Amino acid sequence: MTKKFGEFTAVDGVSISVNEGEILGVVGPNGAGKSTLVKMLCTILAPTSGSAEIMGLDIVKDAQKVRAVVGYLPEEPRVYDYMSGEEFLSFFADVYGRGRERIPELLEFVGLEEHAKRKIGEYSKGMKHRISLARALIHDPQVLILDEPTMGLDPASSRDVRERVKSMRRSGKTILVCTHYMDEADFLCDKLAIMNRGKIAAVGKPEELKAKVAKQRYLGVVIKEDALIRKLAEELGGGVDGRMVVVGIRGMNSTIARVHATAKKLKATILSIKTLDPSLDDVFVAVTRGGKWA
Amino acid sequence: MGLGVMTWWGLKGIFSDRRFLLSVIVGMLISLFTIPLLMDAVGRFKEGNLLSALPISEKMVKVAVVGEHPLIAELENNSMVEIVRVDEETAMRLLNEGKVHGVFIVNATSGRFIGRSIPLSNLAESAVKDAVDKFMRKDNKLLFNLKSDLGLEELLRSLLAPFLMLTPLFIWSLPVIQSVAYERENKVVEVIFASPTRRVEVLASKVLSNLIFSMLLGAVWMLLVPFFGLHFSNPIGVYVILISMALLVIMMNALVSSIASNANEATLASSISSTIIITLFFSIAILKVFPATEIAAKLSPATYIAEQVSGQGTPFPFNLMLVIYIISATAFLLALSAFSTESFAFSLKPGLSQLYEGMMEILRSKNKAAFAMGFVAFSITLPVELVAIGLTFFLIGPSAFLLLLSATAAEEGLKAVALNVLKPTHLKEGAVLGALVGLAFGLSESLLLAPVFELMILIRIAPIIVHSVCSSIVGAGYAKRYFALSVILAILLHMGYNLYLIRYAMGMR
Repeated sequence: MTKKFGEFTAVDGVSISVNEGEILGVVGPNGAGKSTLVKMLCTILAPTSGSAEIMGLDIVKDAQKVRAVVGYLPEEPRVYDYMSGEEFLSFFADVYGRGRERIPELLEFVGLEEHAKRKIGEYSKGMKHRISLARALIHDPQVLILDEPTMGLDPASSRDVRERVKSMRRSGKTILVCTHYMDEADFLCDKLAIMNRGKIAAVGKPEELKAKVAKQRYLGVVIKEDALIRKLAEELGGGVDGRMVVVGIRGMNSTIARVHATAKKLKATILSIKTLDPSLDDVFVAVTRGGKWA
Repeated sequence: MGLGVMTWWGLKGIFSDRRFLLSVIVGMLISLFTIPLLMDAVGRFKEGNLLSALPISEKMVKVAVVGEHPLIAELENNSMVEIVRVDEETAMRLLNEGKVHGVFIVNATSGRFIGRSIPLSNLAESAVKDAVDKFMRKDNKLLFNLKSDLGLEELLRSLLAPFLMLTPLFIWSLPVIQSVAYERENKVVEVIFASPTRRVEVLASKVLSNLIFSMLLGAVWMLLVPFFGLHFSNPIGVYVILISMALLVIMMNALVSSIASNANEATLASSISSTIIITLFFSIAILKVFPATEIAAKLSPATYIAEQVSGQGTPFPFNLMLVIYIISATAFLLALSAFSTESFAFSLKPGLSQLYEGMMEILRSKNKAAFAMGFVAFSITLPVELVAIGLTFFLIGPSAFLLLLSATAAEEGLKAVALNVLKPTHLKEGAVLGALVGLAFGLSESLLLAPVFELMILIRIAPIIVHSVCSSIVGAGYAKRYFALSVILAILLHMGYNLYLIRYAMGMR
C-alpha cells in the first residue's frame, strides 16, 4: 500500500502479512508512517494505491465489513469525558449493533468494574487507556490494531496493558501493535516489521532480526572494585556501560585470557564474564540509521 | 440502525449537559419576560411626539376622513397631511389598498383613528392626535375622545415579535457545534469512523438530534409566548417557519464546525454565519415596513411572523421554506464533504478543492457535483448579493445601473467560482458542467422568486435558460483558457436580459 499527502509519501509500497493468532509489531521512529499505515488498515484513510485484506475482506471495497471485524485502539484514548465508563461502552455496543452483556466482563478485564459509574473525565490517563481498550473489544473483534498502546503510561500501567494484550493473543486474536518501545515489541510480538521513511526496512521474528544485526560481538566484564572499572576498560581498549566493562571480541579465548591477565595486573576481582547479544534497540538503530545491518 | 442509535445517544448527550440546558431555560425566560416590558416601553414611546424625529415634506401623509367636525380644519392646516373626504366603506378600501395611511372616523364628541402597519401610518396617527390637541386647547370646555386602534404599537410589535421568536434558535442550535467540533478536536471521531457507522449517518445523527431538541423547545416556546402577549393567527405556520429556520441554523453550524479546526474556531465562525443569517432574513423584515415589498415578504421568515402577529391570515410561505431547505441541504452536503475529507480526521481545515473532492466522493459523478455546486453558488449568493448591493448603495449611491451590475456580478461571479473548482478540461465538458451549475442556480432562484409555486416553470423558464447559458459560456471559457473574458461576457449577457425585463416591466419598450 502507498499513501501520499500531496507530494509527501507517508507510506511507500508497504507489503506485510500477519498470520491468524499472531502478534505483529510495527516499529519505527516518529514519522516513519506507522500511524498512517494503521489508519489505512482501520479504513479511516484510503490508500492512494494498493490495498490490503483483513480476514479476506478488502479494506477499500469492503470497508464497512472490515470495520465490524477490527478493533482499533488509537495512540491517545479517544473518549467522551461526560459519559461514565459504562455508558461509553454501552454507546459503542449500540453503535456496533451488539448487546450489552459483555460490558461487565470487559470492565473486569480492564480492571475498571469499580469505576464503571464514574465520569470518564475523572479517570486517570491509565484508566482512560484501559476503558479505550475495553471499547476496542466491545464487538469481540477477531483482529486488533493497537497504535502505541502504552505511550505516556507509567511503568505499572504499561505492564498492565501489555499483559492484557498478551492474554488476548492467547484467546486467539490476531493483533497488530504499533510501537516505538523496543522492549514492548520484544515482549509482545511474534513478528516484527521495522518501518523507516514510509517503507518496511526489515521483517522477521525478533530473534532473527537480532541475529542479523552487528557482526561485531562483545564481552561484558563485571569486577568487584568500582574504582578500577574505568582503568580496566582503558587497559583493554573497551568501554563502560554502567558497572560493566564492554570489550570487543577478537577471538573468544584470546580475549578472555587478555581480560584475566589485565584484571590480575590491576589486582581486580572478576565477578562475571558474559558474551553480549545485540538487543532490539541495536536492530532498530542499525536499520533506521543505516548502521551495521546485515 | 446506525442513524437511529447515534441520534438517540446525541439526544442523551444534549439532555445530559445541565449547564447548557440551564442557559437555554434562562435565555427563554428572559426573552419571555422581555415581551411585556418592551410592550410597555413601546406604549410610553408612543406618547412622545414622533413628528420631530422624522424629515417632513409637503403632503407626505394621506388621511381618509369620514364625517364632519371643526377639528378637521386643524388637520387640514397641517402642511404634511392631505385629506380625502369619503364614506366609511371607501375609506377602508383605500386603507386596505395602501392608498391612504390612515382613516379618521369622526362624530360630534369622539373620533377613531384606524391605521395599518404600513409606512407613515404612525405619522398619520400623530397628525390626527396633534389636531385633536390643538382643537381642545382652543376650546377647553369641549371634550373629545380619540380612540386609536393601530399605529406605532403594532408596527413595533411586528418588528419585535420576529426577533423574540427567532433569536433563541441560535442558542438551541449550539449542541451541533459541540458535537461535531468537540469530537473532532478530541479525535473521538477517529474511533467513530473506525466503526461500521457510515460518515453520512454520523453527521446526520448529530443534525437530527439537535433538530429534535429544537423541535421540542420550539413547541414549548409556542405554548408559552401567548401568555406573555404574543398571539399568532396561524400558530402552526409560525412553528413550521421556526423549525425550518432551526434546521437552517443547525446545518450552517454543522458546516462551520466541520470546516473549523477546533471548537473555539467553530464557535467564532458560527457567530459570523449567524450574523449573516440575521442580516439576510431580518433586514428584509424591516424592508416590509420601510417600505413594504412583495420580495421582502417572500424572503423573510421575520416578515411572516410579523404578519402573523398582526392578525393577517398569510398562507404558508412555501417559496421561502423551499429556499431554506435548499440552503440547508447545500450546507449539509458541504459539511459532509468536509467530514469525508482526510483533513477532518487530522483536524486540518479542508480547502475548497478538498471540499469538492469530498463532494465528488459522495456523489461519484462530476455532472452531479456540478449540479450541486449550482446550489452551493446560490446559497452563497444571497448574502454576497446583499453585501454587494449594500456596498454599491453606500459607496456609490442609489444608481439603478450599478445596483443591477453588483447583483448580476455577484451571481455570475459565484457560478464562475464553482466552475473554477470543477475545472473542466475541454470545451464540451465546460459547456455541460456550466449548464448544470446554471440550471441548479436558476431553479433555486425560481423557487424563491416565483409568485406561485405552481407557476414557477412557466414564469421562470427564461431566467433558468439565461443562467444555464451564461454559466455554459463560463465553463467553455474556462476549458479554453478565456475564463476572465467569458465571465465578463456572461455578466453582460445576464445584465442585458435583466435590463430588458426592467424596460418591459416599466412599459418603455
